[in-house]
Amino acid sequence: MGRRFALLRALGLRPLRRHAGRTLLTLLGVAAGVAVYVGIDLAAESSIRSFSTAARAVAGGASLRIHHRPLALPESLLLRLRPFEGKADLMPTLEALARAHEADGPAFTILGVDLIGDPRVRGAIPWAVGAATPAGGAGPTAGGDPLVAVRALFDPGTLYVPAPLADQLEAGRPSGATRSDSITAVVGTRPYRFRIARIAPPPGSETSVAAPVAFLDLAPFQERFGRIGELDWIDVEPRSGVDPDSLRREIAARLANDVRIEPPEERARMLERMLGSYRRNLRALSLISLVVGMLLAYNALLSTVLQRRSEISLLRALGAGRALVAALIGVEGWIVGLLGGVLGVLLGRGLAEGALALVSRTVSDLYARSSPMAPRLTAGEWALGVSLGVASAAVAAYGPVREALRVRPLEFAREEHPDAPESDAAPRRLLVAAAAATLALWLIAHPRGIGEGVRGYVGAAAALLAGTLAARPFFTAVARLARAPLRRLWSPAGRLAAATAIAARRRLSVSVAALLLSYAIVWGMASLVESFRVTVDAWAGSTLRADLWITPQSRAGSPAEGTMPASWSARLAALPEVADVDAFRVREIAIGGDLCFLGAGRSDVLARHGFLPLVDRRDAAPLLRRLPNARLALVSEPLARRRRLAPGMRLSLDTPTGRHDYGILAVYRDYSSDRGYVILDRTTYRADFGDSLVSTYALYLKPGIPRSAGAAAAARAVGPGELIRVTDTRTIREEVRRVMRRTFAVTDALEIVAAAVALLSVLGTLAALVLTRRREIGALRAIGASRLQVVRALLLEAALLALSGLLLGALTGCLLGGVLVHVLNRESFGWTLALAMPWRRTAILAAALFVAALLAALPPARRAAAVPPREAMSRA
Amino acid sequence: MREPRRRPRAAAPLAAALVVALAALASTAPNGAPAAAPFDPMNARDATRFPRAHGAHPGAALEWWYVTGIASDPDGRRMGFEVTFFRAAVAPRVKGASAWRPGDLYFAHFALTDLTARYFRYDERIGRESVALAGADSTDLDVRIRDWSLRRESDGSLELRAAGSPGTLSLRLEPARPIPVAWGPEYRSDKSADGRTFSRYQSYPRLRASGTFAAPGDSARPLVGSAWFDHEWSDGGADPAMAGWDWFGLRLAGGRSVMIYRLRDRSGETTHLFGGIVERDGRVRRLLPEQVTLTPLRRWSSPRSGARYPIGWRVTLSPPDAPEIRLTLEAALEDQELVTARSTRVTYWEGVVEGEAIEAGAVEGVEGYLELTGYAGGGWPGAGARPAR
Repeated sequence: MGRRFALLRALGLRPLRRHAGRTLLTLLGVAAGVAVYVGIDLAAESSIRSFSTAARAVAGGASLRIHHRPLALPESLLLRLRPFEGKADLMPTLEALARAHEADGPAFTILGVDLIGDPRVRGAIPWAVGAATPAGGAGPTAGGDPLVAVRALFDPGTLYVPAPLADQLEAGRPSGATRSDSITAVVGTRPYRFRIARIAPPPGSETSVAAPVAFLDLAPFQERFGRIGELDWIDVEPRSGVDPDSLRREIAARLANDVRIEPPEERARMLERMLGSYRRNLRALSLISLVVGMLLAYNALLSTVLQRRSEISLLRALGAGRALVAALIGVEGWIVGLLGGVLGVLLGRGLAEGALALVSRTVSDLYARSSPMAPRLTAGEWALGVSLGVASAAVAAYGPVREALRVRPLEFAREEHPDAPESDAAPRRLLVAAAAATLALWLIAHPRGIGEGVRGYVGAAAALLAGTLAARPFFTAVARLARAPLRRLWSPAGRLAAATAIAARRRLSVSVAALLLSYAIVWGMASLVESFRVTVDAWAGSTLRADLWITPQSRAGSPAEGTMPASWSARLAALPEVADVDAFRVREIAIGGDLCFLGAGRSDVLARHGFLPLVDRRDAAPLLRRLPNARLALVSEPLARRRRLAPGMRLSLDTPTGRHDYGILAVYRDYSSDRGYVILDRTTYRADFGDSLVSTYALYLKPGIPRSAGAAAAARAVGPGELIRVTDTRTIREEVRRVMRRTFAVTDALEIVAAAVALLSVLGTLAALVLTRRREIGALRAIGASRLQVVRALLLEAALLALSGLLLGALTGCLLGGVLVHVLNRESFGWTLALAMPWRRTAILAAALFVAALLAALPPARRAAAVPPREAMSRA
Repeated sequence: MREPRRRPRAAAPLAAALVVALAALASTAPNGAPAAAPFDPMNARDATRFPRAHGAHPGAALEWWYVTGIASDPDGRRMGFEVTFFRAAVAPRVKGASAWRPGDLYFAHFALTDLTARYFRYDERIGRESVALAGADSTDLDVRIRDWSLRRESDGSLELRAAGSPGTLSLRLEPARPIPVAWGPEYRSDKSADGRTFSRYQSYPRLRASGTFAAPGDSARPLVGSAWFDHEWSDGGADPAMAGWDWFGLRLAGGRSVMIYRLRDRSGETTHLFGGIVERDGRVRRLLPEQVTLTPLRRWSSPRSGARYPIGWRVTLSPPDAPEIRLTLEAALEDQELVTARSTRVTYWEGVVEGEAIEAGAVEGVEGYLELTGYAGGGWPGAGARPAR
């Protein structure tokens, strides 16, 4: 046993050390793949976790939530719930989304709760100061007058802020601020001054970090925010022994159909489901990087095998079994996989920090407020990373091990060229490649709705498989085609290059494959980003036509945050600078378990000035004119795809005036949200929802009026006390683009990683290529080839290799781009994009890779050519 | 019986605290609201008309409904229970204000003494008068904080419900007579020797209690016993010299009931004493300070608050024209202390006492509740109470 290990050490581990450079390259390949996967996954996980925590924080662990979102509940509803007071804690709650006034300060939620009785704040609010003293201690407490302490809780000027948020608010305050214990919170368009009372984070620990929440008692909340008589929801926590389901049924029976009763995390769950597609998208992209890393490892391992052929055959001749040979190669792969996995997880953790900002911005942009939480490297993540490392090394080692097993015992003794017997099985490869490409094309031509998931993975895998399989036939074909020109131009080096390329096509095609895959991945991702850019630019340019947009200053994310009064409409319309005003209302609604937006605007104004691109390319204006005073709706493309909605169908919505059916007139393109919109006319919305508030005012200015003049007039009309943001269209379009850029920032980052891996793989393979052919080079030199000729031949060979890799990579990249744009993106977000090719970017990269290939081949070629022929030939 | 000057009972600590707080609050009502209408909530009419008198007396700064009792289940397991509801006015109601801005706050204590298993547990609640969650009816007895409630039914019985860490208690309490006992004329109970402050104080000293109790995690078991009910309200105001009080609510086996209420100053001297004996026929014999002698026999030190409570007593009652009654009382369990940091913020001892009464050589058993306030921490009860957990 011991001897066997000694052998393993000698033959398995020593080469690792001897070829430290190559080993390092393999290691880096595996690690890079793992790191990207782990990094992106960690970032997505922590940003989604922070979002979930935020969404659930308010739940405080209650089992049920009674609500009527997006509408408020009358507080008198509690009277009808009195019979349940013995069975459950009832926790009336109000919510306001706020933002610290100070220069884009942090966004947070103000919850209105019963500060003296709500179990959710028990232990956090000063009323219970006595209770907060450690049990058993006899230390003095606040003691004193109970009523004075209680009265402070109803003070309209005091906001109870958990310490972590208080720190955050203090950090964001301008240094000149005088009173350090007070802040201005902007809710809607109004500033509210509060004194901060620090409290311990309420039980549920994490929540205060991810979900900045501050508390106000119900009374001051209703009074200050003008919500007298209203509640946003009532959380219900059954007492022990009370079955939540039957309680829910009983409450439902008592409240009839007026409200909804569901677990409080229902909303979070809906959003999480939508985030799931985003995460799937990221995963698919990061899995691709794993493939690239794997290729790098494969390449390096195969070089090892080829270089050690004689050694292996000697071992076999000495009686080593196939198992031992497999173990020898395997151990290298295994160690590299393990180390690469560990290294990858560590790198991934670092990568996650960087990716986190990108990912959580996107989560905030597209889904819900969330502030990033530190990535959490769990045991699961470690296990995943290391096993991905080992698995990718194992997959990468499969080919090399098979190659090693093919080595015959006495091969070393014969004058067999290691690369000599090469069978191509070209037709079979080409057939499978064609089949894979066909599959990818078929998927591109038959996109499905949102949430199908696997089709994107399958398509991407098929595209990459097609390219990989086609690598050898393609390379062979290129080499054959190049034979004549090469011979003509650089004979004898050209002839040599073509001949050796064809002879060594099997090995070289591995390098070709590595290069082409990396390049294709860059190409595919870049074309996804480019398609997005082109499509959204065109969309934003054509649809966002109003000159100015007025939004509440407190809005931090969702367009449903913050409102403005309807009365501004008349004031703004009366301005001499203004031609037309559209008052747009956005609310969150649930449609069949999907949380989307309900938008209501003035369709007459939109028909006059705006442009709404319909999916079926009809003219939207006549349809828009039919919307007022009718239960008709438009739906956005992502929603239509997700819910499989089409013109002519009916959509049921819960409203305060009952459940109504709305006929779908058309599906329109929208890239502002993948959650989807239902659009009603403002008249219909006001009648059915009894709500006249406005989320965004869009102003169309009279011809010749500068936007700055319009903005100033609008601000004056609204009044100096209102905290609004007036944005011109150019800025809005910029913002749309920025959101899109942020959405694909991760893709961009992955692209760079893929490009780096491509470069590494070129360097690695070409260096190895030269090194493994010392004997051959020696022979050439022995028969009279000059050093220059040898170097030139090697460089030409490298050029051939790079050229084929890049050409085929471009083809594969187009295919992959098609899959990403038409299948994966559509499944993840529901957007239709026009496929655009990233010509400039890919051309630059191609040039860089080509030059890198030549430069990479040069030093080893020169070194190899410099070795005296005799020495080279004797040192097999 | 109970009724010395200031507010009796547990309420007293609270009362004292509240009273002072109230004065401050009333003068600085939020939103600069005007003071309440010139209506005297302490009027006799609202104390003598029933069932209205059972209900809340809005405007009165302080009010409480108090139930203590001893009961046993069919297995002979005995337990004492105390459930108290306090109402404290915080600020006058303001038009246009949120319904959640409390005019009144409600507190409740629920304590259970298991005399068989020998343990004591309590829980507390706080709530505001608002849309729901807490409140009291002002036309009849119906007071509640979330699911804790005390309500008078149409047949005159009281329904008591409380659920918390001691368990779940659900009792029906039937008074022997429909009209509560008056310890003074028109239910007046002076709270100082000079009579400048007073409360309205009504009691049912002997209610037949029946219902169920479920210990935590246990199923409900039937319960039968007897209970004492007090209802008292006042407009605040406290003697600054007061440091605390001792209250006795006792039922003699022969059918009589005794209430004694003693106010103490900082040196422990009696500043005011008030009491009475309810005869079997319901007649009340008032006890004057000089007719009552209270002698502590034994003290117990609380490991939590450090307070030393006199939990063993000799009580001598010398009513005129009647034989002397000598009572010897001992706490059924030493630790029956409540540290109410989450509601009234008062630390007091209130628990089951047992013993015997000797009258003209005849011996009869005695059981009831003893309340000791102002022993935890310095100062007068309430403000000085230091809930030390």
